[in-house]
Amino acid sequence: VSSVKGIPMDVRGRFRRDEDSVHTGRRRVLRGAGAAIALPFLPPLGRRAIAAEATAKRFVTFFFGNGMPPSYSAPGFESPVLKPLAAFAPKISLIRGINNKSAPSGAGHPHARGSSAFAIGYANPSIETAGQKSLDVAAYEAWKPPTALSSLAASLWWWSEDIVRNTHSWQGPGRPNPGITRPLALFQRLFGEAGPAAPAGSPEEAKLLRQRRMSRSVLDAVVDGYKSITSEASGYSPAVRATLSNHFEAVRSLERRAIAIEMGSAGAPASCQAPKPPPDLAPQQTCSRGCDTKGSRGGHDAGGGANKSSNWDEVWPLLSDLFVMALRCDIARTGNLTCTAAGDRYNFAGQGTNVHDLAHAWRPGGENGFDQSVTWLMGRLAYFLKGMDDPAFTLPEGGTLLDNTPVLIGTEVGDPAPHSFSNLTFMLAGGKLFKPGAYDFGNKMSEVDLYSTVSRALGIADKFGDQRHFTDYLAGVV
Amino acid sequence: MGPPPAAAPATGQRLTDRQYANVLVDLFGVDVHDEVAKLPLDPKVEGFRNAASALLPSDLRIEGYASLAQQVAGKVDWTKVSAGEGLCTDFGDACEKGFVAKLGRRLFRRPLSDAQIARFSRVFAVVKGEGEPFATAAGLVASALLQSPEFLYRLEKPGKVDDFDLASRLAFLFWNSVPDDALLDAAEKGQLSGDALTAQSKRLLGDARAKRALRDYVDDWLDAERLLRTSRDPELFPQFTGALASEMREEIHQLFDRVVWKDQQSLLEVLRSDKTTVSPGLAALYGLPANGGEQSLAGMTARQGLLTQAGILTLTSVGGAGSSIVDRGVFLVRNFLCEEIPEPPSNVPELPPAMKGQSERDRLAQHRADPACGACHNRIDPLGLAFETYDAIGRFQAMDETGNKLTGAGTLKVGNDEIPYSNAREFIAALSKSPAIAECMVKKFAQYTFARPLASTDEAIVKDLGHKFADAGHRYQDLLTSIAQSAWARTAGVNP
Repeated sequence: VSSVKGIPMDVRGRFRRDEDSVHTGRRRVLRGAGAAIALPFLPPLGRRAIAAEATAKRFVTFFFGNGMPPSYSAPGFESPVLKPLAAFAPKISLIRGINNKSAPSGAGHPHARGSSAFAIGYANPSIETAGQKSLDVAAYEAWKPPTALSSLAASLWWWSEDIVRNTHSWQGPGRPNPGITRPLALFQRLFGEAGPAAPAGSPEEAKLLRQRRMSRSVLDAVVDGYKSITSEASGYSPAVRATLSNHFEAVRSLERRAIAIEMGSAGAPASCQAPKPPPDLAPQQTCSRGCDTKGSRGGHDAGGGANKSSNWDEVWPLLSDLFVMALRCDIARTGNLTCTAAGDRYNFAGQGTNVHDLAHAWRPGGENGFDQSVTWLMGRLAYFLKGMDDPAFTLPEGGTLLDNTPVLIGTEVGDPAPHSFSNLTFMLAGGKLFKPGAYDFGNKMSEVDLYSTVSRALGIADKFGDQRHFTDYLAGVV
Repeated sequence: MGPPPAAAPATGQRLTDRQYANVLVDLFGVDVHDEVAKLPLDPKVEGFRNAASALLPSDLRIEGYASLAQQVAGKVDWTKVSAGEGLCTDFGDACEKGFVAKLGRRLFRRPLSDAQIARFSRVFAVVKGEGEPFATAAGLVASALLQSPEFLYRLEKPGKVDDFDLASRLAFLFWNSVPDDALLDAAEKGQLSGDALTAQSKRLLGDARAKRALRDYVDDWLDAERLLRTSRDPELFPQFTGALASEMREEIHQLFDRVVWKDQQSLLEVLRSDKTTVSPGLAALYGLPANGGEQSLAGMTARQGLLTQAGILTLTSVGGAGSSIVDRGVFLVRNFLCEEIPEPPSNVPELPPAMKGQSERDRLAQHRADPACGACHNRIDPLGLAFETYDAIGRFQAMDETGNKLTGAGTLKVGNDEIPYSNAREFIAALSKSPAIAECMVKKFAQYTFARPLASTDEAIVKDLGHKFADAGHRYQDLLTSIAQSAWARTAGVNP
């Protein structure tokens, strides 16, 4: 795995020392580029981390931007582009020839339309929102797991600010669950900002409890405000009340979390100790001195990318490891991980054209360097799968986390040059439920067929997505 | 859903991140701009980040608000605040309700109802019961107010725009923030029409918050803030540091500051200004005296006004290299001429980079020969050719990276005239003749003010504002004042 190759040693070194000071136990070692490099994040958890029931269901979606030309996936994992995934081939169903039928009638640019249909199967009504809730959220709602977080989203992206292009977890129309982009923010969401728990009966604990009760009174006042304003009696228009209802739902979710913390059921299990926080890195592109944390939210121009001077190779392992940790620690069981947004523009070292424009200029049989970015993305995916598939961490029900967590992997278009919604490539990794192997549905099956297949197999719902585009369940995959 | 009623601003929009941060500075002197920057980015819709329809809530954002409110509660000396307002500072009905009413009115932009006051007074009871002091309770009440819908959303009831609604609209228009006590008092007394409204407009314009609001607008309209998130390949552009990017943005703001506030000139002057205020780093980039500061550009063919500023040229160099003729042309078409240019069809091959003997200009000439491409590029390219002589950080370049000579010459069609130009200065002189620029400035500002994309129903008010803008010598101040006195002020809001 070359993902750690470009990490500046000073930053890495500092971070590793931090980690060492906390965790003296055994550390995972990743072999790559001839050197053994410690995974920056995964602490020595052992088997006890997940206290959850043996039948815990998990589900993750993984999105990457700018499409995958059908020819890249045609040779299966022999393909140079998919080669980073070869080690996981026995655990992946490679699903080719899917026709994205809901995307064409969506709103906005084709990247937005394709992207907003991913793991949703409905056209987006506007550039500002997806058309329905996403599969990860539906899974969370169907299973109602006793986790501290609902569906967890983390995302590395740069240029494509349209929310439907960089957000792939939706709680419903108008309710994005945007991916956290900064590793430190993700860490704080998983482990909170608070220090170690106070011993029972201590004055510190009494103080903590006092603070919680007071915070609750604040939240109560806030909740009352939303209740009052979203009621018909408030006199506000239905549209405004609908917007505020969405906000209210988010406040409710905050409230649920607060209650869970009070009940002592939220957060990581005691056996899953928080490591030291990661460095506060914001994803950066080509960046010379002085632009350290300011590019915190993407929206960058195409100044550079996954090249030697961007910090993506440093940020991605942190995001990915934290995401894996959330699953290991049973802080969340569903989520989305996004590695670059639909239509994202960034340059690879040595390439004068950004990957989006390369995608458009790409022609079958005439490689122009676009394969480098897709190969790099598959490398990031492989890094995530490797974390999920760590044999040192097995679940009570047997197998690695990956063996027990289906991961639906996809992108917004097939052949990117014409923004083709035909012949899309998806993958289903892990999860025992699906049969590994290569499938080609010849563009005769839709993305709704795929999502329905996944949804039914996972016990979320028998059908998922816009049923006008449903033909049948995918044969042979389950 | 039909088109929105003419002049109706979107209502029910969440505060933008910029507005949220402004309010905390204005009311509490707490600067959370950097913290707010960590919330999910407000998306751009048709050029602006304040479109009501796109300001969606999410769990992440709501947790961010909770955390921000908590931080603010902890940063302010609430006893001092209460005492400074002439309020008592101990538990008890009078102090508690007084505090909620006073602070609530500022944050909610109207007096609180008894039910609202009761809602927040309960926090006092809980805190008192925990044995904590009044100041802690006051901070927690502030935290609750800051997370409440009446603060976070610009709520107006359907139907009539009341004086408090208007006070808010005016405050966000002039200050991009909440009303101050004086404006709320005027609303309470019903003194927001006729001469009183004119006087208020004048007062608001004279405040430092108006200067900040113009900066906010320029950051949004021209995307100047994006410079802070822009980088360049350090091998190609070692001098492009975060500091220089920040200085580029500041140069843009200084230009608007001088034209609008100091010299009180026409807004069009930003295009033609022969003065600029630069850092030493930018002075070096332009070949100006090393100390920087305010400098004259008279006599320089390569520099004049906004469009030749390194910041704008950097922002419009989307590929980060080359001459960026198309991107710079599109920037002018969209932001200064308000013409609609569609995205290129997806099957158009990318323009190959310049090569020896064939500059970007030459490539584009071939491209335009194809009628399918020419339809848009005949419009775009003449607006960008003048800027081929600037590189990706706005330095003047007489040759491209492959050694082709660059001229920056072209012909611009303005109305029925074909005006030839041989450099950026001549181009700017030609472009300035276009009446579309002033009209576009009005359209852009109206879109921003209405917090929604304009519709055909808005044509009349935009046209009317345009006449007034022209009559007043295209001054920003007068544009704001005429918006304040237009139908906008009393037209019921439209749902996002």
